[in-house]
Amino acid sequence: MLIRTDPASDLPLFAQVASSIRTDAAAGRIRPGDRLPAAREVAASLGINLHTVLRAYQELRDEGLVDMRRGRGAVVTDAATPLAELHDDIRALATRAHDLGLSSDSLASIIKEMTP
Amino acid sequence: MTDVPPTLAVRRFTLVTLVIPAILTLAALVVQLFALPHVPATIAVHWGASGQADGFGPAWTQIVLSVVVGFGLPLLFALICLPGLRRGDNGPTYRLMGTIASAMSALMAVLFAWTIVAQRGLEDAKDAPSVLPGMAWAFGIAIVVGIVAWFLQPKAAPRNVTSVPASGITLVDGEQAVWFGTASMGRGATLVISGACVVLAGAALVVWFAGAPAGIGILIGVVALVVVALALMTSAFHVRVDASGLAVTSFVGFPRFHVALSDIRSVDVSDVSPMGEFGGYGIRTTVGAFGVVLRRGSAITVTRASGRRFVVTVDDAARGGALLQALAQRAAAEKS
Repeated sequence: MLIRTDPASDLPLFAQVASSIRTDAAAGRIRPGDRLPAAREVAASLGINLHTVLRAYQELRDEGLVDMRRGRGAVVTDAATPLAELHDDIRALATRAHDLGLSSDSLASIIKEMTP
Repeated sequence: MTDVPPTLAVRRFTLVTLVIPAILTLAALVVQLFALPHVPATIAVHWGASGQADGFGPAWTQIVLSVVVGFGLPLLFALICLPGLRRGDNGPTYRLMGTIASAMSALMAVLFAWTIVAQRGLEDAKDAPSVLPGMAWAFGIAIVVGIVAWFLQPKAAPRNVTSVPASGITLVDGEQAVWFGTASMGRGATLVISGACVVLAGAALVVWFAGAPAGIGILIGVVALVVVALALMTSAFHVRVDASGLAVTSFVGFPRFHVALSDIRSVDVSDVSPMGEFGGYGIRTTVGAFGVVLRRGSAITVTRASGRRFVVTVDDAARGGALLQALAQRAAAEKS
């Protein structure tokens, strides 16, 4: 699992952490039942606040992608499967949008509006 | 670096691992068959530490055993090492494996042949002579055959043809990144090792409750505990790549290994054959390399500043290696 954070990015750090994990789930690199690394370890490795990582994990929990249980940490749920199935479609769409000069932000907002 | 055409390495490895053992086994077989009519139906097959015969069995089992072990063991060595050698891999460990195959088969051929030949003309296998002269001959001949086998094979530097420099991740200024991976054993190895642990623990309990002397009970109990603990400690590792370098930590917290970014000369990703390159699985040291090699397949290989390699078999090694390479490069650039 690869987590990247860039302080210069417009996205808040917690969103960057969540997005890294989501990308790995979409690529099928983390699967249902896998355990996310301890938030403390991620925070120490990236040199960011523990609460930033916990907030990222909470966001993923709110999306249903991970399950947080006391003593067991954050475990990836079955919701990772449909995400992985969409991986190729998402990649194709993102590449096509990029080729046509459409920014990822506008693509994201179009998808948000078009979602039934 | 000594560069040897892989075909020569393959031919010589085949010679010392398959041809020499086959000739030795056949020779031992001929000797045994000639001697068979002259030995009692039941012969001594096991000797105690003092050299006195203490185990007996039908003579023909020795012949079956020498065929099965004599041909089977070298075949196993060849099956394990030839795929790597044939694709172009090489190195001292491969050479050592070929040497061991030859030496072991010489040892067994002499011992099996001696067992039958030395019991010719006996009325009762209980009068079998001491095994010690046979052992001495067997070890002596095994050492000579081993030396011959070592020098029959070409000298070669460790080489893994699948090895490619890790690349593919570029870090922007100020960007932080961490990669987590898991190194674990294959399914087969997990089953075999957990099975062995269960059997050992069961045996320890049986011995304990069957009223064996306390000393033996404690001894077997301690052995069982140590083996289970070692199995747990080396069955799976967390692998982490971040600004501190490469960290490989057992699931139970110990043992742990660490390579700092400043100690990294280069990072490669390769397809590792633990038997061929390290002579076995687990935490291994070999000429010029240290490995946490729990299964065959993808691995991160770090060449340290000293030139020694640190190898860890891990899933998704390409990305872990790429990040380690990017971090090491940035650290080196910042230093200079």
